[in-house]
Amino acid sequence: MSMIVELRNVEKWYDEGTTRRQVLHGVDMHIQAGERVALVGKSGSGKSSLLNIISGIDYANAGDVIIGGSDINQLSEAARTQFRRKHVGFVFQFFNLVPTLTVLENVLLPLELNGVMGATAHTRAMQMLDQVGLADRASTAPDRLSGGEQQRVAVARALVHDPLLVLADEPTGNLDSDTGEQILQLLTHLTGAAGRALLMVTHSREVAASADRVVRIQAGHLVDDSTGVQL
Amino acid sequence: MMRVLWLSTLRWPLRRPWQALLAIVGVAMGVAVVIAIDIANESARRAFLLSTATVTGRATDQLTGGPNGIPEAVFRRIRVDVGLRESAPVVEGYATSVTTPTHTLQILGIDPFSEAPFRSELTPSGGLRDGLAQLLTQPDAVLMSRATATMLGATLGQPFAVTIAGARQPMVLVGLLETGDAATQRALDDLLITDIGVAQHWLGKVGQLDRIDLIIPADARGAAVRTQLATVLPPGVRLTTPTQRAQSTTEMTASFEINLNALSLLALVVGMFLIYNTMTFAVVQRRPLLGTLRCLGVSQGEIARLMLVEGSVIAVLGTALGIALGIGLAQLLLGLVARTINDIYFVVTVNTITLTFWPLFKGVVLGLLASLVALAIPTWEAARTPPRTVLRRSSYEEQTRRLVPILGWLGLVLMLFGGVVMWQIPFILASYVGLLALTLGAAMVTPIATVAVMAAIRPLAVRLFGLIAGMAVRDVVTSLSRTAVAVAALMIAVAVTIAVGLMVASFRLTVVDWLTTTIRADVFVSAPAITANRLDTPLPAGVYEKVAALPGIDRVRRYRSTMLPTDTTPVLQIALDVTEADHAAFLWAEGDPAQIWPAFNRDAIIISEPLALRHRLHVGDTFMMRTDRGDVAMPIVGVFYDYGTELGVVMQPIERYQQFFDDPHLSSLGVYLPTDADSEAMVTTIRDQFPTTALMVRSNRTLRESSVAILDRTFAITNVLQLLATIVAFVGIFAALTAMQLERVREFGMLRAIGLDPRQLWQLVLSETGLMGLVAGLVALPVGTAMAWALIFVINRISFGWTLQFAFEPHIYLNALITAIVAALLAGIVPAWRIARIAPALALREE
Repeated sequence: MSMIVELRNVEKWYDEGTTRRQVLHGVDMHIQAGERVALVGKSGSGKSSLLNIISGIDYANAGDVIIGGSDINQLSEAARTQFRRKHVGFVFQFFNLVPTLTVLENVLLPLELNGVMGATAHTRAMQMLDQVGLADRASTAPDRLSGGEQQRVAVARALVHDPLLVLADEPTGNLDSDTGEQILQLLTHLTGAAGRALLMVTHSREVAASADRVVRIQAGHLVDDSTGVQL
Repeated sequence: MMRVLWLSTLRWPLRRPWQALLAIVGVAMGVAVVIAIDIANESARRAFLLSTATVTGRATDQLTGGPNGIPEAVFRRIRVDVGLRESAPVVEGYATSVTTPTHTLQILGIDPFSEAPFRSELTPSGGLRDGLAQLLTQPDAVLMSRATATMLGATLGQPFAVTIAGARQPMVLVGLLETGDAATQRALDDLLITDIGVAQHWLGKVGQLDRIDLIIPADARGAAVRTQLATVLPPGVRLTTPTQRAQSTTEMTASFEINLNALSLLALVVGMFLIYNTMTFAVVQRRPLLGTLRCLGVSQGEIARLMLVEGSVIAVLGTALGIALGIGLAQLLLGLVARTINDIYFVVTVNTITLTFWPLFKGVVLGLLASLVALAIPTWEAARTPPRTVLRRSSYEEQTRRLVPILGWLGLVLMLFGGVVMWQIPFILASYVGLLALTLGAAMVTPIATVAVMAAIRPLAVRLFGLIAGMAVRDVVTSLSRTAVAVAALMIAVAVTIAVGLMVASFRLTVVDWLTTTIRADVFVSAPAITANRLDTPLPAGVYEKVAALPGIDRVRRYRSTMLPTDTTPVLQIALDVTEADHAAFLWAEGDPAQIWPAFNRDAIIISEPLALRHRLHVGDTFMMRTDRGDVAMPIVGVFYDYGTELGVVMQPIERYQQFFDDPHLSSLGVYLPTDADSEAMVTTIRDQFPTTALMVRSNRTLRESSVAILDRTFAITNVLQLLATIVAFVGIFAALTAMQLERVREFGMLRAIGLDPRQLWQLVLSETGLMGLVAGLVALPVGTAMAWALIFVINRISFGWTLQFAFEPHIYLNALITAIVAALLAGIVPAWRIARIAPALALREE
C-alpha cells in the first residue's frame, strides 16, 4: 500500500508576546492508503494543530509534512490551496455547509473547484448524494435539514472529488449516538472502499474503536499508536 | 470562476435582504448628498451663464460703466463717430412676481432697431413675429416666454403687473418668445423684454445705459475699431468681453461653494464610514463561511474576487440609487442655494436643475471608489488570514483587540498631522486634507476610547443595574470588531453636527456683535432691493432732503453702496458720511484709529478684512480704484472687521465718491434721533411723508432682526446638510446594530433558555446600543470641537477671510450627546423587538 501521510519530526509553536508556546514536539506519523486512523487526546493536547498542519491550513515550524508524496510545508499558500482543493476532503464537527447553496450545490462545489463542470459534475454529485441517502433532498437548503442530514451532506462534499485524504474533525461530536454511528459507518465505508486515507480527530470511544489504528497525543507528543480494538 | 462558488456569495444578500438594502441605502445616501450639492451649485451657475449668454447674444465685446452706468451719449458716439453699426444699448434690472414675491424676473430693455445682429431669439426671424414692432408702438409692452406668461398669469394683449423696486408696475404682454432649442427656451424663462426707453423709465435709469453690446470682428477692421473706441470712450467706460464679465460674477460665489463642498466632504466621510461599516460587517459576518471555503480549497484571490464582486454589486446599486436620490435632493437644495446666492451675491433666476456630466461622474466615481476602498481592507484581511483563524471568531476579536492600541496611536498621529497641515499650509486643498486626516484619525482613536469608557463604567453599571448591564458593557468590548466601526461612524456624524453647530453659533455670535457695533442709527431708510443684503436700488430723488428736514431728528447719515469692478471679482464700494460719533462703529484689524480718520477724510480709504486677506493688502498699500475719472490709486489707511460680504469692501467719504463717480444717488439713510426719541414713531412719520413711494423704513431693532434672519437663512442649507449627515449616520448605525444583534440570535436564545425574560433581553440589547451611542457621543465632543476649530479658524478664514469668535455653546454639546444616545437607542429597537419575540428553541436551533 502507498503512503498518504508521512510526518517527520514536526514541530509547532506559537509566539505569544515574549513567551513561546510549543504545541507539537517532534511528531512522527504515517497513514497509508485505505487506512482509517483516529487521533485522540485531551483538549489542548495538540490534535487540532496537527490536523490543521496535515490539511495544509497551517504551517509546521519545523519538520516534514509529506502528503501524497509532496512536502506541503514547503509549498506556497497558493500551492497548498490547490493541493487541498484536489487531495483533501473535510468533515467538520459543525457541518459548515454553505448556507446560501442547496444540498446539491454544496456537493458540486469541490467538483467545480477542480474544474469538473456540467453534466459530469451533476451526475457525480447526485451519485454521491445517493450514496449518503439524500438524493431526494438535492434542492433543499441546508438549514432545512436535521443535524445528521447536514453531516451526511458534509460527508458527500468531502468525498465527491475523490480526495487522497479525508480529515474529519469530531465528525459525530454534534450528533446523537445513533446518527453519529450512521455517519461513522458512512465515512468508514466510503473512504475504505475507495482506498482513501481517513484521519478522524475525536474524543469518542466509538469513533476511535471504528478506526484501524488509534494515535494518542498528549501535550504535543504522540504517546501511543495502537489498533482500535486495543483502545 | 465557477458558477456554484459565485452563487454561494451572490445569494448572501438574498438571505439577508434588509441588511443588503441598508448597505445599498448607506452608499446611496453618501453619494446623494455629495452630488446634490454639486448639481445645485452647477445648476445655479449654469442658469446664470446661460441667461447671460442669451441676453448677450452674439456680442463679442461689451462696454460697461461705473455705478451710474453709461451716459446715452456714448452710444451715439459709437454709432456716429466710430461708425460701429453692430452695437446695441441695454438696460437691465429686476422685478418680482406680485403673487410670489420670492420669484425674481429679469428685465431687459433693448433697442429694437439695433437688435438684429445680436439676439436672434428676440427678432422676427428667430420665431417672434411682430412682437418687436409692438414694443415700439404700445406703452409698457413686454415680451416673455410662454412659461413665464403662465407663471405670471399674463395673456396676450392683456395688462398684468409685476413689482419693481417695491412698487406695482402695470405691463402688457404683446408677444411670446419661442425658440426651437429647449436650453435657450429655459434661459428665456423669467425674462421680460421691453423697449429700452420703457425700461429706463421703470428702473429709474432715464438717460443711462447699463451696457452697450458690440460685435467687433477679429480682423484689421476690428483692430481699427478698438483703437478708435479708446479715443472716444470717457474714462469710466471700459471695454470687456461678455465671458469675462460673467466669469467674474460667478466667481463671486467661489467661497460659498468651497464652504458647501467642505460640508459635503464631511457628509461623504460619514457616508464612506457607513460603506466601510457595512462592508466590514458583511465580511466579518461571513468569516466562518470564508474559512470553510478556504478549507475546501478556494484560494485567497478567489475569496477576494467574490467579496469584491458582491461589494461592487452593492456599490453599483447604491451609487445608481444615490444618483437618483441626489438628483431629487438637488432640486430641493437648488431653492436654498439660489436664495443664498440671491441674498448675498447676485440675482439668479433658476427653478430647475441642469444635469451635467461632471457632478454625475463625480458621484459615480465617489460611490464606487468609496465602496471599493471601504471593501478592500476587510476583504484583504479575510483573504489573507489563514483558514485556521478565519474559522474561529474569537481569534478575530483577539486580533482586533491587539490592533486597538496601535490604531489609537496611529489615529493620534494622523490627527496631529491634520492639525499641522491645516495650521501651516493656508490653502483650501490642504485644509480639506487636514480635515480629512483629523476625521479619520479620530475614527481610529474611537476603538480604544470605547474600551477605556467601557472599563471605566462597568463596575458602576453592575452596581447600579445588575449583571445584565455588566453583560451589555462587556459585549460591546468583546464584539469590538463589529461595534468599533459602528461607533466610529456615529461618532463622526455627531462630531459633524457639533462642528457645524459651533460654526453657525460662532458666526452668529460674531455677526450679532458686529451688527450691534456697526448698526447705530435709530431708523434706516432704503429702496426695496432684490438682493437681501445689498442696497442695489437707489433711493428716489428728494428723499434725503425731505427726511433731513423733518423735525425731531439729530442728523441723517448718507450711504451709497455700489459694486466696483476689479480685475478679478467685483468688490462692494461704500461711500458714506462719517462724523466723530461714527468712529466707534468700526473695529480695526489693522491700523491706528488716531491716524485713520484724518487720513480717511483727506484722501485715503479703508478696506474690510476679507478684501485685505484676499488681495494681500495692508495699511500703507494702495488700492487701484476704477472711477469715472479713470484708475485712481487710493492709499489704504485702515483694515476693519466686516462680516457683510466676503467679496470685500472699500469705504470712502461720500463727497470724495461723488467727485470720482458721476453718481448722485444714495442707497440708504441712517437717521439719528435724540436719546429719548421713539424710533418706531419716527418710522411711521417717515413712511407718512412718502405715501406713494416704495420705501423701506426700518427701526434699528427691525434692521438688526432682519439682518440676523438673512444670516440664518444663509445657513439653512448648512442645516439641511447637517441633518442629512445625521440621517446618513442613523441609517448606518441602524444597519450595523440590527445586523450585529440579529447575528447573536443563538446567544440570546441561550439567555432566554436559562431564564432571561423578554423584558431583560430588551434591557440587554438597548443597554448595549445605548452604551455605543454614549461612547460615540463622548468621543464626538472633543472631535467635533476640533472640527469646528478647523471650520471656523481655517476653512472659513481661507474661503471668506473672516475672523470669527469661537462660540462655546454647552447646549450644542448636550444636544449632540443626546442625539448620539437616542439615535443608537432607536437603532436598537428593531433588533430588540425581534430578539425578544423569538422563541428560545428556535433561536437555539439557528446556526
